[in-house]
Amino acid sequence: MATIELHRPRGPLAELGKYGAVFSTTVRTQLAYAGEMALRTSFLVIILYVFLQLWQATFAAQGATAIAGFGVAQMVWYLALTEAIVMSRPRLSGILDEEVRSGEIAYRLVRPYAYAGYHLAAHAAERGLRFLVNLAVGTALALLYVGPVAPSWSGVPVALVVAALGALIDFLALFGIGLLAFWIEDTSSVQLIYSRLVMLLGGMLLPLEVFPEPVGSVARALPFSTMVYAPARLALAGGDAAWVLELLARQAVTLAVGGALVWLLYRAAARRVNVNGG
Amino acid sequence: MPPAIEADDLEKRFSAKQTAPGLLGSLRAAVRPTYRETVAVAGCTFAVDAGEPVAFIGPNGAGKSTTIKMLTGILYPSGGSARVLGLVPWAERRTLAYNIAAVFGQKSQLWYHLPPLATFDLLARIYELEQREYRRRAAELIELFELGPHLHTAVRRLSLGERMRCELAAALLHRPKVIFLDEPTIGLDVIAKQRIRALIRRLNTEEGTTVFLTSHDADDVEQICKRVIVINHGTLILDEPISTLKSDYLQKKVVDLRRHDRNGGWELEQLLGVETLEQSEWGLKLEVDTAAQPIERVISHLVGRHRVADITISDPPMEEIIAQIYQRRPEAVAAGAVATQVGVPRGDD
Repeated sequence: MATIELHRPRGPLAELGKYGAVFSTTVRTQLAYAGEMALRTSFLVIILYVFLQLWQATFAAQGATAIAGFGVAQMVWYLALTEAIVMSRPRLSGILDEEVRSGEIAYRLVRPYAYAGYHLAAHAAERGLRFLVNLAVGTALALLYVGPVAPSWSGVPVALVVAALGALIDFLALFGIGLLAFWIEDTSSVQLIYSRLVMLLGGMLLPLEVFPEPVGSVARALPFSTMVYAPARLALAGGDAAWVLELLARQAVTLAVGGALVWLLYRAAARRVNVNGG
Repeated sequence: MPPAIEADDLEKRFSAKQTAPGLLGSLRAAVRPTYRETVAVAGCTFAVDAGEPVAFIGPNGAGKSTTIKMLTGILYPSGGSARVLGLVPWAERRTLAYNIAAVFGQKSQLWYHLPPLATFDLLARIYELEQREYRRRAAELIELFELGPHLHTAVRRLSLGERMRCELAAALLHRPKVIFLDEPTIGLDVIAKQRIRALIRRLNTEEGTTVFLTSHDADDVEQICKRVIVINHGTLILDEPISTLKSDYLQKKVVDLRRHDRNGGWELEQLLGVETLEQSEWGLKLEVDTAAQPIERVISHLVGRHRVADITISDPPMEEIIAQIYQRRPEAVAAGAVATQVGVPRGDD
């Protein structure tokens, strides 16, 4: 009996190539939203100005030139960096939620790629592009408001690695929350809580050294701090080798545990697909 | 050659939360949810040969899309088995994906803010096509589907007909052996529908692609397919060549006429096989049994007696065809009745 000759995957390079193509196509589509991106960065103008005023008042009231090792200028630069990180986070959970509810997930699942891999490539493209724009605008504003500060030249490359790993942890969390759409009607409340935790306990507004104890120690121990506080701190003030190693080890453990949990969640979700609209 | 698609006692059940009407009902549903199990597909068995164009039809909620989604590996079945191109779809989804395509008429696979060519380029990488092969195939499809003028226009600016041709071309880039078409002509005008049908027919005859089509449009079924499988309440009720369906169930046509004048009656008494569905001073809707009365004679009769402003001829709706099948096959009604819904309170799952 004759058999049908099937196309099969060509190998790991071709597999990687398809995620590269998703990445570049997402960058192209994001450029179509250039106006929206510019509008979003205008928020930085306001928040950096407000915090500049607040910090100046706080330093004057305390008669201090530095709080927790940071002067006014460093505080503004810290905020510019953390805002650039936080504001670059795409609404991945919302996208997944919408795909599940609208039934668009059907088109994702009939393609020869990994569903998570597709979203990781698209997420990285959107996040990377937004980060570059936010960083450029944040840098320009910080220069305008408080002038330059000397970065930690040894800390900047480490900060980039830590920021990339932090973004990967954030992706896993957002992807996991999005998958909850298979069990709960609407994931927006979970997304909201998670985003607020990243902002507050991640140290977006204040360096964690400023937090009172025991909140500061708890925040430093949680993964959120490795996404926001740690890269900004490393870029501005550097860090000793022991702390950097501890940070990277914590990120590796978070990625391993988080990755395993999300994989289990995805396996369970795949069996619950109930494509809407037909 | 083994069948391209085989389904054996394929079954899918869903459970959905039920909410009673009113505030009290919503509160009760929040505290102690009740779930209702729906049998979407109740043990379907059929096979489709390689290269065969088959219509899989039925009214809304019959289980058509659910069956397609099980055959493409998107949904896990609740029971039974299936093979597409010899693969178990839900277990070998990714290998199967290289060899099949699906077009869902109500959803788009094209990137909305980018030109169609950007989606084509992306799909070429996703399906791991060699650049030379991709260029050749894309050129072929662009010419066949007349996409040249639209290739560099953002998808959001294309008409529905133009977009649909792009959707089909995108689905065909990797030369799928089986294509699942779920309402491919929905929302299109008559001309656009004709073009899409002609393209699908050409794809089937020239490339030997197996076509598995669902549609509510009887013309899609008639013009594209050679065999029809009818499903209702998740149960197969008919599996016959299209010629049999045409002679048995599609011999009726609906004529809708508007006239300029309102003088005189409609004078239909001498026409056999013609039933008046609606009638007013200005308009008339008839059902013509073409086995008893050629449609041309009815038209010439009407045009000869009235100043006709507008006239359309259409097939009876799919629901009516299904109703006719039921009338002639009472056993199908009994089978459909089995696929009922059962309320079951339960905890989280």
